[in-house]
Amino acid sequence: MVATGTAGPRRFRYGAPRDLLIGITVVRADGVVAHAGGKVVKNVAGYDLGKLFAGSQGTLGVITEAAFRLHPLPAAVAWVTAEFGPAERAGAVAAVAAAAGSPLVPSAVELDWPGGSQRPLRVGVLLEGTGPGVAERAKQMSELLAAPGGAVSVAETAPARWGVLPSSVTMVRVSFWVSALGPVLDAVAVAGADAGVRPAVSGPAGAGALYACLDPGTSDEDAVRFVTALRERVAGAAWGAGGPRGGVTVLTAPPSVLTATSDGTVPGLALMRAVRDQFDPDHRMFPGRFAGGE
Amino acid sequence: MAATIQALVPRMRDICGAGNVITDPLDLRTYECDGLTSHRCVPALVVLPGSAAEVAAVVALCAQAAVPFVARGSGTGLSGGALPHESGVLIVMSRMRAVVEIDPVSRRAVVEPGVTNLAVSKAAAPFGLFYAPDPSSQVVCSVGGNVAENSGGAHCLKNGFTVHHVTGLEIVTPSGELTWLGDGTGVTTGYDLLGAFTGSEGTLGIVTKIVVKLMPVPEVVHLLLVAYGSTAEGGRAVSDIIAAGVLPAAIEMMDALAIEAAEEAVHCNYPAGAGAVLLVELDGPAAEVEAELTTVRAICEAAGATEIQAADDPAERAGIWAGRKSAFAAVGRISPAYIVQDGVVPRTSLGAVLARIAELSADAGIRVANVFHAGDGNLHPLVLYDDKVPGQAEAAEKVSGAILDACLEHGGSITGEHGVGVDKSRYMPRMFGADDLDTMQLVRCAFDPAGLCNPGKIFPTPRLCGEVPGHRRAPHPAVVAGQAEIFLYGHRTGLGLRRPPGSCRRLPVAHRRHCRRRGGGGGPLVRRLAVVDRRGVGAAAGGGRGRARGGAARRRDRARLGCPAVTLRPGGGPALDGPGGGARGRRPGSAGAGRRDDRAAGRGVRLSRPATGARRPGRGNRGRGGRHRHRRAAAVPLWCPA
Repeated sequence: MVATGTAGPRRFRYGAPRDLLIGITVVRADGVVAHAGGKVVKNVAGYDLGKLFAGSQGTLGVITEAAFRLHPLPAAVAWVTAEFGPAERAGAVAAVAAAAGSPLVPSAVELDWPGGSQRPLRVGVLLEGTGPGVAERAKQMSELLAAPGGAVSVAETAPARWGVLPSSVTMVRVSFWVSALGPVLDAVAVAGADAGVRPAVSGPAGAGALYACLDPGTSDEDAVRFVTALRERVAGAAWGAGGPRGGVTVLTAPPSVLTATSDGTVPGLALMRAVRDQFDPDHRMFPGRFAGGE
Repeated sequence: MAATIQALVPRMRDICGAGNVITDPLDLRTYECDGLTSHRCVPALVVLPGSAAEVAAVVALCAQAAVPFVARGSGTGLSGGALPHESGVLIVMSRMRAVVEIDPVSRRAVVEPGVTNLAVSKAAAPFGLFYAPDPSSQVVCSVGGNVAENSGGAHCLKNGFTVHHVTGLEIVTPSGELTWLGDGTGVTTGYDLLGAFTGSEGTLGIVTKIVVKLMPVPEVVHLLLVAYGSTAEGGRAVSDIIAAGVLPAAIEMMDALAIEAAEEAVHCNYPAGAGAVLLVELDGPAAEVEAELTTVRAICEAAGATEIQAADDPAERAGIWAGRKSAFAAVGRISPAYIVQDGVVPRTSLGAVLARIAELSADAGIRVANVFHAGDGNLHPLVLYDDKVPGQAEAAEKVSGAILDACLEHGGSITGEHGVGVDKSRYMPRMFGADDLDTMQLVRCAFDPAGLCNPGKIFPTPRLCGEVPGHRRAPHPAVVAGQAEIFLYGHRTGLGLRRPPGSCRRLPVAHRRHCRRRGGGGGPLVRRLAVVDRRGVGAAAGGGRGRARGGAARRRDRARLGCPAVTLRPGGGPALDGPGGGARGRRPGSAGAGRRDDRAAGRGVRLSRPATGARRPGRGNRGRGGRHRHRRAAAVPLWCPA
């Protein structure tokens, strides 16, 4: 999990592995064992190699020990979900923004949009805390989600597909500023129609990320067409006055799709190459896993 | 002003405008230190660029001229991280202070590095948002500086540090190129260079634009002021609160001496006669905070609280916080000088370490006031002394070092939020092994192979980038052949053995004094491989008196050693010579850096004092005993191709 930097719905409040990793031991490509960080949460001594190794896909070294910050288990949890019809996409977008920006401190703000533009959308919000506190917050959150037209329900168990991505061969992650969620959903719909695929879209939309999973039967050509079309559309919306505001990353795909969609525009790619050359000059650690498929 | 710097001035004026290039010696002195005033160094040149493009041009010029450069924000750092370089350019970011954009729906702001921390929260306030990291200096410290130091603050217990609130950085690399790290969203693609860069203390590049997260302002905020008879009781309450599953926004503690100082300075009306006060702030949705407040009150009472005051309106809270936030400055009223430490211990060890600090303080007769972030175990012992009393400064320094040792013994860290800078680089080997430090420096070599960007900070021994890249292939041939031994400041550690933990405790005070004389720059510790005189090699290599050897003698040395040797250059640091490469035989990849002033470039092989030509008159070879034996020998790099 650390090497891939994977995070589920709770990333909205608690972050990804890089945010909770406080110490790390690694074995370098030349066999040297090195430590960084420590066992205390607050620590700025030396470079934070944990950040570098989290999400490095095993290309910098082998992680042999990791220390994490833990959070207390909540006494009570509640899921507030709001369903929006296919024509109410804008309502779902507004609900995500309202939940993510509310002072009710949600632990997760998820969007689930399975199988193409003609299907309903579901916004799911997880609340954690004390019993009475969660009940009161769930009520307030229900009002927030109902305002843009959602059909709201509150439950103590997770809704279907919560934190689970559909099985697929090609999975694409779109990252964005939440204010661009509407255009991003439009882009996914249009790119899907262009390529003749129906991606299942879900993920921590409140934290600015969504995963688009293509059906396992999708041909490589269609997958490439989808990624290319999506990237073109998102790229337009993803560069604001202040700098980059998102991007499209192919997380898993058949090798030919990975090669055809290799992205040379990742910010800081030249520095990433330099870091890799320092840690593993012969590129023996997991060839092919480096950003851009090198 | 050195000729190299002099030559840069007109071009710097072209880039930044004449008014933004400072050369006047008196004006330069303004920038001689940051918040840690015990380290001072007047920079050779100060420039104040007004845009990212200007910063890039300035850095490119420095890189081209091989002149070191240091970036500076508001200069409030407490570890000397922005200490200028005596023969380098100081790049002051204070003209770049625009809040470029605020997107309330995305909860993001784009700011320039010179913007003050509090200005971001002020700009976000109309949207019901704020910027969470809140170092005590937030009215004046810059966001760029916060990124460099990965600043925390009282409320980072709950909200995290700067690194958790930055989602994109535009930086100028040490070679002068503008690039972005992170895509602005907080989701990482490829290596998390954004995370590695944050907290790198200005050694990997200069930030020119920052995308930060904003958080919704909490519905309610409650502050409890709890008085205890002792810090031990307070410490128990802290552990119990966290164990109960409550995560307050902040938990701060002050001991009797710190309370006395704060009371004298800002009349904060803390309970009289308290041995310790605890400040517990709870924030969040009203429905949750009420329940937490009841829990925390009960725990505090059970732990033996003598008095509890509660405050929920902003004015009352500000009054109580004033005592805590002014504590560092207030201590100035009860002591002419003091050292601020920043050690961290696991929360469960708070009691033990506080008791140890009291013991150290009593033994040395040096008063120590404690003001600290109890929730995350981040201590700020203020070691009080009078610099007019001979020996007190040294005693305080000793107590201060022993406190850090106590923190490390309990599995803690030497710095929680102030950074390593120049101040604590000598303590780094107490916390990290040679391999750990070496691995960290691989990152440095990737970003800054020439070692020009804020040299002399964090690492006690800079790595030689561009040697055999990143890898120590085998022990040095001279060691294998029994011709050389590894010395660590005169401490023999055996063939090929690494520095034993704590070996630098023996670092002579004289050496630190020397560093100070030299202007405070440069890490005080240099690990070296000394070639000792077994078969006359050492004397030959070093010329016996540290004088440079001629080409023939050098070739003879090399033939004897069968490996690259380092010879002393007249009036400068040692230069590297490759095997069979003659005087020009630099290693492949060293990019000509071997000829540069090694000290200026922050490179690894250097002498603990200036070499012959730079030696102060009258100091000669006097008074050097065995400890300095290695000075007569030549230093050779630790990394070497087999």
